[in-house]
Amino acid sequence: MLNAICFLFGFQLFGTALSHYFSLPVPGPVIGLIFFLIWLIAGWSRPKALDTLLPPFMQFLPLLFVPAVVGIIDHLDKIKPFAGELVVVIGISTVLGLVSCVLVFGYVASKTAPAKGEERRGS
Amino acid sequence: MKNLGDTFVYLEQLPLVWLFLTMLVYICVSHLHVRAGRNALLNPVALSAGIIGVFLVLSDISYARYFEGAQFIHFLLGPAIVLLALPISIHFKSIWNVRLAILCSLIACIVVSVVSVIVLGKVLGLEEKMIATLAPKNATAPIAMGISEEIGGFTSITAIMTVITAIFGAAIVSPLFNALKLQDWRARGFALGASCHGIGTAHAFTVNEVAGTYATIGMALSGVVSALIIPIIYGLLI
Repeated sequence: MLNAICFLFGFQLFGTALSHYFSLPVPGPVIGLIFFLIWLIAGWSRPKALDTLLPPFMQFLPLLFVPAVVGIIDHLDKIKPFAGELVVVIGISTVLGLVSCVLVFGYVASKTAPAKGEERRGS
Repeated sequence: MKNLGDTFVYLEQLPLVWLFLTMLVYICVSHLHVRAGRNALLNPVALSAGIIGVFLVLSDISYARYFEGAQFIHFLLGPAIVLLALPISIHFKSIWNVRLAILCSLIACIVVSVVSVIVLGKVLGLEEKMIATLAPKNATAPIAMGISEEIGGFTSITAIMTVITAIFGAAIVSPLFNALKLQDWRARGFALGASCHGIGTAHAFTVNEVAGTYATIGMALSGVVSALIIPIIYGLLI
């Protein structure tokens, strides 16, 4: 378990260092993710505990965003004047973005590689 | 024995209180969410943050003080994001098979989101700076802030807009896609990650592992591609 956690921090640190050094707009952990992915695809060994760590981590992933989201309380007065317009723009635009993405993906994938097995939602 | 007020004042200064409160509220809210049949109105991130936010405002405790405790939870986001490479590597073959669908739908998603923000913003009479603030809302916060700065928006408000977008998207996505009768977890997850980045991806993992995996890819690619094309689209339309 300790190996696994140290492993993840190592990639995060490496990504953060690269992001800072090259002044990249991409956050450090995302760069760490990309390098960890290259590592995994190359087939190099990894701490076994990572595989057992994955399911619980994925289940409480939303919790990790809560502290940052609470930060909105410091900015409420800035967005209040446009609250109505913002709700309309964000609401409509997000729905349109989601729907166009899912339909295009579904259409192209159905021609090239239709969903099968666990990729399909049981009805 | 000291009085209760003293003890509360003492405890309130410890990080432990805010760490515990955040976890406790989240655990209770998630149970409620699951019991209510995953009702969209009870989205755990939004509801937990709302309850904690109201509590802080009412008890006159600053966000900075709350964050002294809550930062220990926030800090875990970094390694958690790195760990997301693991499900991608597990599903890598099937992801590579749909690379064309990923590319086409990603571009459709970003173009539709940005164009609709600009058009709606103009129709509603929002000032240009506010439209620029909203335009990159589908990208993950740090990237969205960079884009916002480039096209002349308010970067700090952009960060909040990305969060509001993601919470809204995560809350409505299941009823929306169920109503459209979409059965492909890959498409559902990818769309959520591409439009609603981290919070969307986190939500996708709580629903289905394949959806979460594709959401991760959507989040990462959407961030990078948004940084490349949103300034161009914005320049053409404004």
